Amino acid sequence: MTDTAETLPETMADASDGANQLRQIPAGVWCAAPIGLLLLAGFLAPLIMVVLFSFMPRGTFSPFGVPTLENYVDIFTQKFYISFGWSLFLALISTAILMVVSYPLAVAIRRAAPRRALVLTILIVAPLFVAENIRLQGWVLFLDKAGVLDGSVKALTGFEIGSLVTNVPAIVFGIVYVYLPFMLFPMIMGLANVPPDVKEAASDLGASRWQMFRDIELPLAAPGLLIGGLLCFVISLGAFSEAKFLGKGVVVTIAQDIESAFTFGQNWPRGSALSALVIILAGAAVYLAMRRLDLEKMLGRAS
Amino acid sequence: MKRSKFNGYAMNRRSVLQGLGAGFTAALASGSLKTAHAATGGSYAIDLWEKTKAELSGGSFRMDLNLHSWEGYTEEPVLAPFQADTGATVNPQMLISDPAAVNNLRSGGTATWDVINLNNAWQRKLLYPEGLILPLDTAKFQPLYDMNVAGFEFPYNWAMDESGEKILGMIQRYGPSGMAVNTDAMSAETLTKGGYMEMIEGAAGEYAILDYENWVIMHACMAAGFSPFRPHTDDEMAKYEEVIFKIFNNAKKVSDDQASLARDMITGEVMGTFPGSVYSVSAPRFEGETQIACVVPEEGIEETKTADNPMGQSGIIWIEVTSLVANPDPTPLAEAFLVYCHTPEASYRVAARAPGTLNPVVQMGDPGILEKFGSDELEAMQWDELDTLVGRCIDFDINPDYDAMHDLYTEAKRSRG
Repeated sequence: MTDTAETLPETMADASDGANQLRQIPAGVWCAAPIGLLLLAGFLAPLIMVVLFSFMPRGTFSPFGVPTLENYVDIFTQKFYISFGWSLFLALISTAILMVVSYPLAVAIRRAAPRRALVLTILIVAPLFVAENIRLQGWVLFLDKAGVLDGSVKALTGFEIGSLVTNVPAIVFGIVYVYLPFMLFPMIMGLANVPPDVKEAASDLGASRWQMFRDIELPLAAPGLLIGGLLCFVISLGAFSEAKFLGKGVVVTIAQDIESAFTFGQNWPRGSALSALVIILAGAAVYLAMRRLDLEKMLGRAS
Repeated sequence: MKRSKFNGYAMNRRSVLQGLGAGFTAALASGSLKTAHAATGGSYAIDLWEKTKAELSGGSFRMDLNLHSWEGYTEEPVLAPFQADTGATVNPQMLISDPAAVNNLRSGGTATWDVINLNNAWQRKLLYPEGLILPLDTAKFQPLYDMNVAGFEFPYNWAMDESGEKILGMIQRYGPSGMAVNTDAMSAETLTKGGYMEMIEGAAGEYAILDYENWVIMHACMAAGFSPFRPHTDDEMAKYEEVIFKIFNNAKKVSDDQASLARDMITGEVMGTFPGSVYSVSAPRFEGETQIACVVPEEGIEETKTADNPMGQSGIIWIEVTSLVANPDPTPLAEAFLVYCHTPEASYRVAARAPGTLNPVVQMGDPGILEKFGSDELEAMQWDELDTLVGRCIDFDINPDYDAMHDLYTEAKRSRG
């Protein structure tokens, strides 16, 4: 047998080596390459740009200037903590309400006959096909002074409700309304991890409904609850339209501050610094939650 | 004729329109009204557009036109006829704010856009000096200025470069800005005589902020008693801080949705908005809600008071300038679009067919264009009193202390929560 490298010209031998090296790359890497490249270009690159910009001086429109900490200093001296505080509060309270509201609905959908469950799912998903801003504007027209609700009540009873928007509860309502599906579907997935025979066994052994909920259903469904809660918390943290349309300036969220910095403020570095802080906040929440989750178990691959 | 920064406009426009008075519409109907250059300008625009179309039909060039503009030019009623006549595909993108558009061009947007439409001042002070827009062919475009209402004739200051020799763009939509009010809740006269503080302090908790951020800042300066368009002393900055916090603390609500605020004024939810302009009230007025009106205070800031105009000026007038972007891959469609916008029908559509707002255009100085407007449209634009309102305004310009003022603005806004 003759060694190929001895008989082939040098360039062809190099090519052969290269092809061999490519063949040694596992198939999984090839399969993951498209999504890897997409994430690199669509997720990591913008993130790096945001971080770079956050260290640029005001009035800079390139991320490669002399770095400075002035944006972060400004954020701490110009009372941006108010916006962060409101965003955190709105995200926490909305997530808590979403959990309470979604749980019974998730249980009902799990227990419903397949056809009825499908109808319920379609009814919940359908609003997602309409743009968020349009749905929120619809609520404004419904809840505002002389709106559908106020007008109808006045016509029927002569009593004026007045405007039900321009307040914090209206903002929370908007967030809960918009993000309900994001809590509900992970919750349904979590409840799928609760085998009916386990609950039957507990019932046969004399467990009360509360004990079954607390000791069996909740721990087994916890991964779904946590994922739903995490998802809702993170996207509520960046909520913008709800405060804008339903709040009408009663509070300013951090997302509104970021938008203002990038548009009318034309202060890209400050907008980037605020964005970086929100990303850190959301990242910390994800990190803490993921420490409590066993994804393998959730996906049913635990040994 | 050259306009002085603060009071040139008032005298010119007022002197022309005062003579027209209540018989204006009747004169129009009888066809007896003529202005010195109007017929020339209007006819010239039509001839030029026909010639331009003929030139385009024989050429080979990029057929897409990328337009970055305020809403007057981005909608189907304006764009469809142009596309039909030229075969072009127009890609419009509406502006978010003037500074955002300027920085878009600065950060490489010249490779994207062919035409840019912004409020005045940016063109001669930033865009042209930085090579981001191109001057127009004076011989071709100067005669189009003959259509304009008095005060906007060639050479119009904000459409020219600093030397006054090159045309940097074409002017069209304009309007005065002060406050908006439901005159059933507070009379226009009360607000006109009382000034900004009549709303900020006198109607605390009853007004809304129309949150176009730079306009809130500019009007806060006017309410504080000085022009926003020059460097400010420490005392003036302190006064601005006091006023901007007061404006936000006393407001009932804050929104950048002028339609929603117009509804709030109609329902009595708020009595008015700060700021407010013909731009923001014309749509409800067109719907018959003529109790909603733009008001510009009678007495202006001290620095605008002169012997000729002892009351000074308190409002701000904006005028949009449409320019050719210095695109490295230019298309003649860009220049053609500017010509097209001056035809009578296009001028009318730019003024009256934008979504959610009607605004006067300077080409309404041409009787052929003015007669296209119905009385309800003129009423919506407060045409009868426009001269008075505009006369109480200083020209929109660049605020050299905008960054510091914007910081205080955002802080005041956050302080509401």
